[in-house]
Amino acid sequence: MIFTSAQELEKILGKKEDFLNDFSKEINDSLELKKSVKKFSLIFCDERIELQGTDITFLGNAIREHLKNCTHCYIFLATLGDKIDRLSDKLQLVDLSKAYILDTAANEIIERYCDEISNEIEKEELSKGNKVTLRFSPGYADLPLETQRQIIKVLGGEKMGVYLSDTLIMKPFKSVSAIIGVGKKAIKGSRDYCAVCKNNKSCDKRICK
Amino acid sequence: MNKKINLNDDLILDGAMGTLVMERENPKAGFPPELFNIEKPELILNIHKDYVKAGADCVNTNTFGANSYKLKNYKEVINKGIELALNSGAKYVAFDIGPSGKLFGQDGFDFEECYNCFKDIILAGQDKTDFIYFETFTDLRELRTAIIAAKENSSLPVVVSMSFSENGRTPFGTDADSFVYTALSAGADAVGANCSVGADKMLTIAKKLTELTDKPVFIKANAGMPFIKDGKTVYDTDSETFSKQNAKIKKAGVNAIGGCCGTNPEYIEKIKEETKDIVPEKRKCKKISAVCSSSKTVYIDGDMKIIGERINPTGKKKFKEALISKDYDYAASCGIVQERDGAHILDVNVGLNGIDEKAAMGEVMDRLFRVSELPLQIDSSDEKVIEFALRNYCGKAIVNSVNASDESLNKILPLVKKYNSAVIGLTLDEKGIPESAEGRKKLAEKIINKCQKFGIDKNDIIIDVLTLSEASAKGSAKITIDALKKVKKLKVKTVLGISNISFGMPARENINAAFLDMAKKAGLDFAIINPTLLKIIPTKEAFDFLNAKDGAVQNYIERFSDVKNIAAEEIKTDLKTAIITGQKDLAEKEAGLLSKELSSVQIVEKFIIPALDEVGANYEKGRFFLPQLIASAEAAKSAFSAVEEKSGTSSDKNKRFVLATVKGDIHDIGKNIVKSVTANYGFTVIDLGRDVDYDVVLKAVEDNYPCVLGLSALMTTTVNNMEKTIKLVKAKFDIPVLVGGAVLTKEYAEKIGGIYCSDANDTVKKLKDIFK
Ligand code: SF4
Repeated sequence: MIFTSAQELEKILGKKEDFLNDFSKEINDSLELKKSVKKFSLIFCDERIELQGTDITFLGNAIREHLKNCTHCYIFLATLGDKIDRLSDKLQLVDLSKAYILDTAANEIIERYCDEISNEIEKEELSKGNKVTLRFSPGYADLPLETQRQIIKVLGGEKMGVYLSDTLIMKPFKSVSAIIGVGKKAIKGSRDYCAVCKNNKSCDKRICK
Repeated sequence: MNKKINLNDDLILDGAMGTLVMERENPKAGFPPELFNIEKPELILNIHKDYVKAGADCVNTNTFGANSYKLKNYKEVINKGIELALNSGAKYVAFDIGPSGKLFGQDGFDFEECYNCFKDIILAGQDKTDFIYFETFTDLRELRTAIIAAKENSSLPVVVSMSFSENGRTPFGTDADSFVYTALSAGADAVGANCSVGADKMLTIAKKLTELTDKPVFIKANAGMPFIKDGKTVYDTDSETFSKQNAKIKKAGVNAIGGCCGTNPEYIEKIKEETKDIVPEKRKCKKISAVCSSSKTVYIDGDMKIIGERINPTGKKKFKEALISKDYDYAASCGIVQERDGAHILDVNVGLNGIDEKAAMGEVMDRLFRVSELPLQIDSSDEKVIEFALRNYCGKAIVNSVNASDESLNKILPLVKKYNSAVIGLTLDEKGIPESAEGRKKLAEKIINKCQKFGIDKNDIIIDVLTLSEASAKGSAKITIDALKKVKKLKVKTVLGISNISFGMPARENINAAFLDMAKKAGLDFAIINPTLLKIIPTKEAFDFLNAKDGAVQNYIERFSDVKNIAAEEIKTDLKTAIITGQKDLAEKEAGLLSKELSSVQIVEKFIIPALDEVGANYEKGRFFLPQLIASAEAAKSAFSAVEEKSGTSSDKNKRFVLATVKGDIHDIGKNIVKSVTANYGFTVIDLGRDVDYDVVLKAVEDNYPCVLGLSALMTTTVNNMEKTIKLVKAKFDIPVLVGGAVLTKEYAEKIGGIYCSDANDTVKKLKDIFK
């Protein structure tokens, strides 16, 4: 179940309250889930990885490590839509506590939605005898956030109502872009990206868990 | 180009461009097909020709994405694109313009920027085509701006088409009704829908459009839904089925049909064949009266509509303070509350001496656009503000107001006409308000005549016969109701401000509610009120008073002079409990009661702070969760504001906390929570907002020095901007900088010179320490 429930909100709030029933309904009614998924062949070059038939290139060592043994990759874009952002804008002005509950719940919803998309991809590939990697997103480790711009373009973000601000923040806020590698010997587990990451001198291991 | 196009004619439009370019040239995904106008002109020309051969009367230029944000050489691309289409042999050529690709609103572009983007495109087209075709728009604000740019910079007809999802709305929430009324009021000559769905689902949207207007309707559906086959995107509906579906669309009253994604010349040929003998059904749409926002249309259908009056500084100290300190969120929250309480339309008045009314109007409208669906009523006495608001507003607004003086009518009505808004006409002139109902009716007639001279539709005229205090002049209520009935016969709409009626009397709501009831029964179309009035059931005494019965004034006063005290005694919970349990309204009432007996310092020290401390302690022990902490903070805030209402601000001006979400970061819920929680401990919080530039932070620190700075960053990428901000500030001022945000760690915070705060509660603790 991607949608939220009164029980989930109860856990976030820390107690049972009558309004949570209506609130979970309001949140679910505001969801406008949309996704766009595409698959491409990978071309490994010296400094970068290219996606065949696109202008997308992946820079950095971490994604190279992540896509080790892969021949293809999926890119996908998922969003909860603008309506949930509006609800959040509204609640931040009149009920900050509910705004917080919404924000936390929405994070969990988009996560479940991405899980669902990932699972579909995995199922499809497993049936062909392939393996898949976990999700990897632009901005993670040393894969530049700018990568998002090309990904959104190729996936038709505009038509889904997903835009990128000048500072590379996705709107609606609750949107995710991600990469999943595919190959006969793709490695699923997460790895020590810090060991290879170009930022490992400056970053004090603050970000990627 | 042949003869001038008649958009009402039956027209076969062309099919997809992008799909064919993909098929024939297979460029990289994401490559702009418009560039082929220059790189491979024969490819584009042939596609146009193939569509003409298939039977298209009209082809769209290959210029969909040719704008300054997407293509550097967009002007050249446009020129070449138009040339190719003109050379295709098509009877008509449409100048195809898509969305800019930039987001409208706070973090994207504003009206002027958007306007200029489309103005440049339109000027580049030099009116060489038969009409302008804005298509695949999803954001109505962007589309409306584009229409205005087209109307002001070209003499061509303008056709506008949006993409609706299956739920009948665009991704930005616009429905067909709001689209049609907004687009037509901005000056569009025809409306339509394209893309997103196949022709089967498109039928519903097409039908809806034909019901809403008698203007021409243009429809271009996709060839069904896309799916991936062998790594390629293909569509699931063949040309046979597609053309049958389009026949239904034409039958429903649509006069121009073609195809969007997934279609090719074969589809167009089939459509032409299949629909050639179909005569579109006669439209049955009746003349209606409606106003709308970008997502909600309010039909003036005989049921009285409520216009919320609370966004107005007159007589409201807090509202004035908020406007002066540029806290526009306050006005926006007044909108949210009124929507919740049952308003259908929001009146927006931000007129206050000493502020930039135009700027304030823009800011408040921008916020309301995000947080409320309701159409707006623009309330100003300055015609420049009215014009600015009408230009920027997305929807069909009401202008409040004109009066019957020639000066007012001549100044305001041209604006009303230009943006096709509705307008309120007050029945008063240079000589004042006529005493008699007949006199007010005469002025109404003058206003109506003048409106019609300017070409304003009668459906858009709303007459206010004015409410005067019954206590000051016995019989006022009767005259107003009388005048209302007379004006109703003139076949225009009517409005009344209600609350004036009770001026000078106790328990005013009761009288207001009675008057509202009388006006409603007399057929009033709009009431301007505080929507909470709807909850009040009027008493017989109030009706007697308004009907000017003998002795009614005395009776009323006797019955109601101390009614407020009765209500007040009902509250029994104490303030501390109200705060701990996070009950906002209750906390406000309790604090209001207490402030009659205690000083503000006493209330804060005896009730509010102990309550907050208890909440904080519970939170630390894990008994309370963050939302409970926030709810208590918000309840305390309402308590404060009730206290401050009586005795002025209670925060300590010497404990200043400057707060900002760093540059590049627009996630500010965390910062807002910190603001809410810390403000309750008596610190003076200066909130700089989100995505705050380094200079702005520096300036604020300078202005408030000595102070504490608080910075929040939520993204890995903006943590760097936090570091930079701290460096710049610390180079000039030796002040503590508190930092927080999901991606921060204590170690990293310290490394960049900040004091790490794990959450809002922790921030309070650190602030207390610093200010000790
Ligand atoms: S924690 Fe730092 S070093 Fe490790 S992967 Fe992330 S950015 Fe690179």
